[in-house]
Amino acid sequence: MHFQGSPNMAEKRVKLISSDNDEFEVDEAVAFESETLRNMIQDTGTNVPISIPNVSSDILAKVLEYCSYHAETMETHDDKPPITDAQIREWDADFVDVHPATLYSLILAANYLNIKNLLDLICQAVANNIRGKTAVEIRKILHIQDDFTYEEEMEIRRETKWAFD
Amino acid sequence: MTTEEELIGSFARAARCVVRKPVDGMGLIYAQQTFSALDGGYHGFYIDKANDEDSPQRPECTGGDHSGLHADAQPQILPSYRSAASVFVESLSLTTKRRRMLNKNPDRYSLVRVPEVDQVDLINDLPDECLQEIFGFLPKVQDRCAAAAVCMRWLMLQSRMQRGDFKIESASMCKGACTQDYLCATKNGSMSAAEKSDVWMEELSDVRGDWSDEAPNDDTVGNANEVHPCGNEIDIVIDGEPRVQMQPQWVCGELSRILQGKEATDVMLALVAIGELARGGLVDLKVIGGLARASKGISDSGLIAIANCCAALRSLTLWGCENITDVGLAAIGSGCRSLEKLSIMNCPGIGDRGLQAIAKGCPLLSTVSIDSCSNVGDASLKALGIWSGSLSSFCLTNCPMVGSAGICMITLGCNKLTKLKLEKLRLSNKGLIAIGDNCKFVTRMKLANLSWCTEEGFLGCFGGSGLKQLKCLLITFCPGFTDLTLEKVGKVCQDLETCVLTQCQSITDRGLQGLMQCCIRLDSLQLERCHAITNAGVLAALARGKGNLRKLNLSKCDSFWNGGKRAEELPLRCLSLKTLNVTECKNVGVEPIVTMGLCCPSLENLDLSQLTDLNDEAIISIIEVCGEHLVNLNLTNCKNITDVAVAAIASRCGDLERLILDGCYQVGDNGLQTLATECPLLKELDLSGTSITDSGLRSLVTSQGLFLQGLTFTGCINLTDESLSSIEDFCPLLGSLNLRNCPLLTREGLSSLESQLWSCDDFVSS
Repeated sequence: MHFQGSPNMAEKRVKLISSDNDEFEVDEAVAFESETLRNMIQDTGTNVPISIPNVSSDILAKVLEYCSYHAETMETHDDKPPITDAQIREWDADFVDVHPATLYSLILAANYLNIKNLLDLICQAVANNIRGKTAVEIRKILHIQDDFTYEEEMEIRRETKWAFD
Repeated sequence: MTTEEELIGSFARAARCVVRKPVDGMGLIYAQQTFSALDGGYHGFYIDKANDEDSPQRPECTGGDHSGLHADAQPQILPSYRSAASVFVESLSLTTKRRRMLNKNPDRYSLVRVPEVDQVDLINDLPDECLQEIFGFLPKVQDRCAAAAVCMRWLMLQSRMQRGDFKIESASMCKGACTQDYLCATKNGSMSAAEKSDVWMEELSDVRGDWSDEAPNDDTVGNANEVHPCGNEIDIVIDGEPRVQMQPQWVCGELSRILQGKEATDVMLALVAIGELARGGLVDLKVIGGLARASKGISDSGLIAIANCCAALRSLTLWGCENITDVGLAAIGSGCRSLEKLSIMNCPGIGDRGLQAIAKGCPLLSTVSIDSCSNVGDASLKALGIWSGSLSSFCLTNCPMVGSAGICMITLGCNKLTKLKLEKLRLSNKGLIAIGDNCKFVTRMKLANLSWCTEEGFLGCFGGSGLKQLKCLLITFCPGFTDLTLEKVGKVCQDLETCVLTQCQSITDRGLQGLMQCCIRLDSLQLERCHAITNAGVLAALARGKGNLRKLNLSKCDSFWNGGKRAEELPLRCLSLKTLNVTECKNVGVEPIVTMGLCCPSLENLDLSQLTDLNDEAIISIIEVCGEHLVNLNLTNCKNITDVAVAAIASRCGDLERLILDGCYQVGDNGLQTLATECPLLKELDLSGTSITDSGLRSLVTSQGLFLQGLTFTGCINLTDESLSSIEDFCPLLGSLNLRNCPLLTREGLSSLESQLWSCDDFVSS
């Protein structure tokens, strides 16, 4: 992430409008965590409020929480000790410890706003939930309807058997 | 009472709203009230459910005891109403499901807790790209296969994952979340492709190590769900010990897959693709679609999965895949760049655009076969001519859109062509002339059913600068292929070794002599159903030949024997001929056959089957001349021969190894006895339909049963179990026995013998 951490830059504020028409005001540096917003800001400048029509207020709040924290970790302060990687990981782990539905909304938002690290973080969290489970268990925990026919199911069992032998 | 649909709707809404806003006290109270209002319906549902065949496997859900559910749900983080509601919604969905094997693995299933999250499939609301992002964090084959087995969408998404889609380096982002064996080495995101693939290989071998001692254990899974409801842990624990590296042999091997009939589905192709990405090695894929199963056969999406994952594919066969279009084939063209061999048959959806993409994308293409693809036209052949310089074998059958222009383009462009087959095409003379001009290195050519081509075209074909190296020529039903052409072939193709003319009505003795005179290397001549050929012509041709012909096939030449010559008029005998086949020459009488036999004293293989006119005298005179070296003799359905002929055969043919007397009903024990004493090398004997009895068979096997390997006695009505015991006693090498339609044999008689045989068609199955 190429964050420009000079104090002058940090003074610039960006207005973001969620799908619920709530207005969020953040530092430009925070918004720059998102590639999409970075491109928009570079096109239109910081004066115009940026509308994000497909992200709701609560999700946008979460996204901005993440962006602010990570923008902060990139800054170097003389007075404070730098934030360690371990601290960041712990913060991230707490961040993704939310309801799965929130996670999915965050994935959509991170995908749209193109925040690579956030997208990876959440996808990783969802993947962890799937890892090591059988198909039946995955269906169960994610409430996915099994739409295979009996024959297809048998084919799949036969064809994937090698992986578990 | 509210209807079921409304209930589901309200719960779904409740679930959604909880997602958006954290549950407050009021919401909880409201929800609990709602739930108790629905209590009746909930009970009613479970009474139905208890009658359902699927229900016994699910202890938490059965019995209609909602207080039990409350107890189960209470210790969890989420409010009880949601659990109950979700169970309800889920159960409803179960009833609407197609009939399903829920009892696939009852034990494991029962250990899965009623989950604590909302009972709505939210993850499939995500777009494909996001799901693939998630799958990118699950590179292990077990996880991939498990995910692929979840639902059709996941299967198809998994089958499209490519090696580069897996983010094995970004694992350090989540605490305690990853299998760290391969990850610690690759914390930084900057890894070269080569390193990546190395890591991949190691990971693969590790996975196999892991899994063998980490079989999906029900207890582990159950505990994991209990202790860590959010699933932030994994049940594969990696420790610091050095891991046993298993040799990934299966990565290097070359695999060949055939998906046929019911197996030829997109699901199977997707699974093959997933397996290929993990294991590698698939070089040959054949998809043979079923008949009239168009709706279930493979489609483009299956082929795209293959194209994505099977970059090493060298050979692809698609037969009867009616749903495949240019889109799927174009994907193969861009994905499988090492493709060398392509065979498509009965794929009406494939047209020029798909084949153009293949031609452009697969520079190594060497063998192409297109059969009965009604939409393939000249543009495909043009593309092959431009891009496929290394094409060496090209077969085109029954493609009505292809004309001479396409043939011109491909023969001009593919100058390395060695094998060419054109069948059932609307080809004009122009196309044939192009072949003659351009195909300089073709050694093997088959032209069949080219009814639009005239003599002029064929003369042009063999009069050009090409086809000089032709070694094998096959012509089937081409009215334009005449004597003149055959003479030309003889003059042009000096290297010709094999000439097969089938149903060439206009070929006469003259053409044959012209061919034989020039082609001194001719080794095999087959003239099937060439009704204008005569006995005299063949003999004259043999006389003119330079004595290299070893194989002559004159089967089904009905009017072959007109104008027969007597043996004493013949100038010489054809000493080179080893194999003669004159089967099914109807209504020709005895004499021409005898004449023919008299000319060929060196014969090793003689097939006289279906010549019902042959009598003992004829056989004796033939055998007298050419019996000395005979190894194989086939007299199927020569109904007029008796033990006399068999005795003559036995006394003259000392080298005989294989004798077929199928249907010679006049042959009996006497003949068999002479065979027994005179033919010590006999290995295979077919006595079906003869009049032999137990004593005849016994005399055969006692004197020379030692070497007998195959015996056939179908329809020998006189044989009893006594024969079986003598066979058992005296034939130690016998591997195959056919005893159909022998009414006197019993199962008991066979039982001890059967275990010694490789194959046995017995009387019971008939």
